[in-house]
Formats: sequence, C-alpha cells, structure tokens
Amino acid sequence: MDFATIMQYVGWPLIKIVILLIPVFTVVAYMVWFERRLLAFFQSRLGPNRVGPLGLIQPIADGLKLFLKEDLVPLNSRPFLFKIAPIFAFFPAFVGFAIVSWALPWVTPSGKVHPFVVADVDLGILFVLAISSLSIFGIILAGWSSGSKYPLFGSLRSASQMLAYEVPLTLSVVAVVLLAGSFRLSDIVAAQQKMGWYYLFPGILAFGVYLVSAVAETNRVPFDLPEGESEIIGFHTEYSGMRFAWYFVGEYANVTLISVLGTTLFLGGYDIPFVNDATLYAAHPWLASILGVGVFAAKAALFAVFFIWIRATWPRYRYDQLLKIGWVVLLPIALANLVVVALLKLWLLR
Amino acid sequence: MMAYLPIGIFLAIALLIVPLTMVIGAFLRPKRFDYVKLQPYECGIDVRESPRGNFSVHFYIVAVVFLVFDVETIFLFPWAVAFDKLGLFGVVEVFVFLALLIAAYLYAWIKGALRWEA
Repeated sequence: MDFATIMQYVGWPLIKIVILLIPVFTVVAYMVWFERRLLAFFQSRLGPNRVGPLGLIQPIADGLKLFLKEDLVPLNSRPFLFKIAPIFAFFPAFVGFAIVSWALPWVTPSGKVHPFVVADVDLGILFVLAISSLSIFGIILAGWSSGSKYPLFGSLRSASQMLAYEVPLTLSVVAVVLLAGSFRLSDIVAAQQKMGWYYLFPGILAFGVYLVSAVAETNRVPFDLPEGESEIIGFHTEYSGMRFAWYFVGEYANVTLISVLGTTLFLGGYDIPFVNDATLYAAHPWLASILGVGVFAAKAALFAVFFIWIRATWPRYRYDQLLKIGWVVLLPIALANLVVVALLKLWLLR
Repeated sequence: MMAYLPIGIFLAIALLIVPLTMVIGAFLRPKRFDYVKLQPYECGIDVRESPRGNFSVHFYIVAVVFLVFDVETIFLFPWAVAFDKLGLFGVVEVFVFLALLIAAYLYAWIKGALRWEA
C-alpha cells in the first residue's frame, strides 16, 4: 500500500465526504428555518425573523440551545438502548447521500473520469432503500426502551405506518428501475437524457405514489400521527436535549434525501432542461457542472416546497384512514402502474 | 467491491457524529438529579403499572402482510433490471407472479387484515 493507493481509496473519498457533509448539514438545518418561515407566510405571519437578518441564525441558536440542555434518561428506561436509539434515527437518512450523483462526471484532459458522487455503486437505489428501512429501528428502540406508555404506542403506530408505505414506495421505484434498466443513479439520469423525457411522464402514476408515500415515510403532515407535534404524543416523548435534536435532524435529513431521490428518479436529476447536456459539457465543462448542481438543487427544492405546502394545506388523517390509503389505495395503484409500465416498455419504448 | 469502501467511511462518520456530540455536550450541559423529573411522562399521574404490556394484535398482522409484499418487491427488482434481456417471456412470468400475489392480497383483504376499524 503506497501513498497513491491510500489516497485513491481513502483520501479522496474522505475529501469528497467532507465537501458533501457541509452543504448537507447546512441544508438540513436551514430546512427547519425555511419551513417555519414558509408556513408562517401561508398563515399571514412572519415566522422567526429576530435572530440575525431574516432570522437566518435561528437554526444555529436552536441547535446551541438543544446542545446545552440537560440529557434526561428516565429511571424506568433501558439506558443502553435508550441512548443508542437516536443513532439509528440519524445515520440511515444520512448514508443515503453517499450514492447520489450531483452532476455529470468530470473528464480530465488525460481521460480520467471523476464522478460527482461519493460512491457510484451499481446497486445505488437498492442500497438507499435497504439502509433507509433501518430507521424503523430508531423508532421502535426509542419507543420500547423509554419505559413509558405513550412512546411505546407512538412507536408501534409509527412502525406500522412506515411498513405500510414502504411497499408502495418500493414498487414506484421498481417502475423507474424498469424504465432505466439500472440501479445506478447516474445511469437512471443518463437513461432519461437518452429518452428525451423525464420519467415523470411515462411514470406519472409511480410519481404520484412516490410523492404520497414519501410524505408518509418521513412522518409529515397529513401522515404525521407518529409525532403529532401539536397534540398527540409520539415515540420521542421521553427524549430531551441533543438526543431529541438528532431525531429532528434525522427527520429533516430524510425529507432532504427523499426530495433528492425523487428528483433523480422522476425529474431527471442534474439534467438541464431544454439544453443538450453533452454538447454544453463538451464546450464548457465548468459551467455545465455548476449549472447541473444548481438545477439539481432547484428541482429538489421544488419537492421541499411541495412538502411544506401540503403541511400548510392538509388536515391530519385518522389512523384507520392512513392505513387504508397505504394498503387499499396506493398498493393496487402501484401494482397496476408496474403492469402498465412493463407493457409500455415492451411495445412503445423499444 | 472497492466501490463500496467510501460508503463504509461515510457510515463510520455518520455513526460517530451522534456519540461525539453527546460526549462533547456532557462537559457543557447541566446534570441535576431529580427523582420526579426522571419519571415517565404520564400526564402528571403516578405510574401504576409497567408500560411494556399488551398491544393490539393488528400491528402484528400489518407486519406479516408487509413481510409478504416486501419479499415480493425484492423478487421484482432483478426482473426490472434484466427486463430487456428477458423480454416477453419475463413479462408473462412476472404477470403470473403478480396474479398469485394479488390473490393473496385479496385473501388478506377478505379476512380483514387490512381493516382497522373492527
């Protein structure tokens, strides 16, 4: 193992991870601020605007406050499980960012290819689905180890909700994989560029299913029964301070991840609309990469705004309605869509 | 396999961030023991029985139904990736597979596994 090999396998990935982590953390933190401001505007209020210009230092102030709060571990709890549960809530949402392609790969004049991704693995989207399922452990562990009734019931409700909506979510992703013929996210974007259409159009049903189950999977209004910030008590009732903060960060990281994935799967990812990316890239590689990342962020922001918009508009569903929507409405639609997409690809999209 | 190494590094960092903040925070945050403060939340009433009691069997049924359909999606992924190679034959086979699953789904529905009101 000489220096160059270590640099190739450990050094560069580490640098990439750090470059990725800073914007991801910033986006996750400012998502909270953005949501509060936007919600306030929906309701003719101003929202947090006191801390710093436009309230921009609010997330830092909130984080610092939670960081300095006492860390309570109830006497009735199982301390070890209680303490490790937030880790499970946080890392699944986070590791998913590793396989997202952020722009067209760089090709240096000497012919070396540098992809704009931490790890461009061939099982990309399958890996994200597998690892994001682990966040259920964070919820179940929190509920069970708290030694309190409300978190236990909250965690059971939450787990069965996430199970119910994971199936339609996965099936809508299967439709996209079917169209693209690959799990790799950069291949999925390339297939959309090649076809000239985003998968939004052949997969419009899959997109609808994806949107609804994404809202449910991230436990947001109108499917926010696991948390019910305002009245019902959720699985993290007994948590305080920084451990609670990690649940919060995990949730917003999940929202960000699911927006980014939805952008890649259905809206063409870093593809710049109305422009032939390959030609632009051949002429101005710098410009194409920067524009690509910018367009990607803008499309993902559309998802985020949509989620907040739903939150400002919809009332919460009852629990039986929630499970009914998952099993009786979304699952048949997702299966039917899969059949339609398979036939479409068989005859029309050859 | 080397392509997965950066994910391993990423995973290690993600796993370490939470304990790291907790350890650093331990030097800064207050720590005052109070028996009442450490009681489970019970709307202000004293805790009478263990919270880890029975719960509705419906949660169990939902988990079982989920298991069936989640395994199904795992079978669908290889077919979706190899769609072009399998062609019409693969489509017919998967449709038969889906038909069997829909039969199972209808059975679960008729048996009331998907109903919550009862």
